[in-house]
Amino acid sequence: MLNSGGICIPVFTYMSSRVVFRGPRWGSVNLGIFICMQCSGIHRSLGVHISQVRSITLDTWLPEQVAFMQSMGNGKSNKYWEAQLPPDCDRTSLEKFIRAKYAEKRWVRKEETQAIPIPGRRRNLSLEEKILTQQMAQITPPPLRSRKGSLDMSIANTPAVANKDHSPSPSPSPSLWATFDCE
Amino acid sequence: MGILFTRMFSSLFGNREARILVLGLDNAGKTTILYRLQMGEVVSTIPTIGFNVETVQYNNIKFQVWDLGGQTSIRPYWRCYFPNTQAVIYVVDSSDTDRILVAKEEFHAILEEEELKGAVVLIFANKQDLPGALDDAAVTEALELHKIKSRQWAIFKTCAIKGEGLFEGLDWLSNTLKSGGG
Repeated sequence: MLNSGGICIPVFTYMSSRVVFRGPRWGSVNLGIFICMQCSGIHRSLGVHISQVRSITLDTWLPEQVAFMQSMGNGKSNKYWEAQLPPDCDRTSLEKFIRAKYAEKRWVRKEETQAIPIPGRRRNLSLEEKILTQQMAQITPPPLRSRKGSLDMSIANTPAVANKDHSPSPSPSPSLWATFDCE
Repeated sequence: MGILFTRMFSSLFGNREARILVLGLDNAGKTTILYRLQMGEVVSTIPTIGFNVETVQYNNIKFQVWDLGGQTSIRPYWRCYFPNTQAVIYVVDSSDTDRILVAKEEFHAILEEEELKGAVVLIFANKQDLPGALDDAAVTEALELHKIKSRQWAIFKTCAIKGEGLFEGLDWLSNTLKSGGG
């Protein structure tokens, strides 16, 4: 669940309590957003046709997934998913809010629901494919990190990276995500 | 006297215990299945980092069910739980066709483990309610179950949140274990 600044609400509350901010450790690879563990549980319950959740610290990320996170991010994603979100929207039930936002697409601008494919299967990286393609061309591949025993990597036949090893490019940050880096 | 009677009753009617591991990729539905079996309820879950363990009594068998976290980097730790396991329940998100190949590779890696040589295998083709979910025949093919040799196995279509297929699978498991498998 995200506030208007693009930050997951439990994380935002955590920040507000002035405890050391360690950042969200989960992400949705097809939505291109970072989320906290509580929200990751809800995102997982939506099904992979809506949101594909991975741990930043415990899962292996493919280069194209990292690149998509870089090109999307919470702020940009919310501009799409919360385009018509009323300011007084009730967010007390996280699950209802997240389901309405992503599964029902309740606050997506109506004309865009037709034009933009639903993020989902087949690594259909959805919202900003054009931007993604451009970004992919510009981004130098992140440093490779060998991980023994990861079957995901051998199957994908592409070098995989852990997101935490990735250094954001020095170009203007495309989204808020870089500020969330938990390491 | 009461304990003695209980033991006699148990031995007469085949009451026994079995250690079960629930394995599968992250977000396959392992924890939801565990608690659906144990409490009969759908619980809200968060990703399992580590494990959950519960006892499920069914068909005169006391199943000690271990649900292990499925994230990429914690899968290698599954092997710590392999000794003395009678059965593996392997859970697949049938709608996650992008990762079915990964699910297959992890599955066959488990089957090759020496410590699980005697374990029977029950596959749950879970999340049948989701759009695009592969049915049991398609999951059988994707996981290449026909390659399994000298081991008892079965696959069931399940929908953990509706409770469908789970107890049919447990029926098969208890019958197989009673008849000496595992």
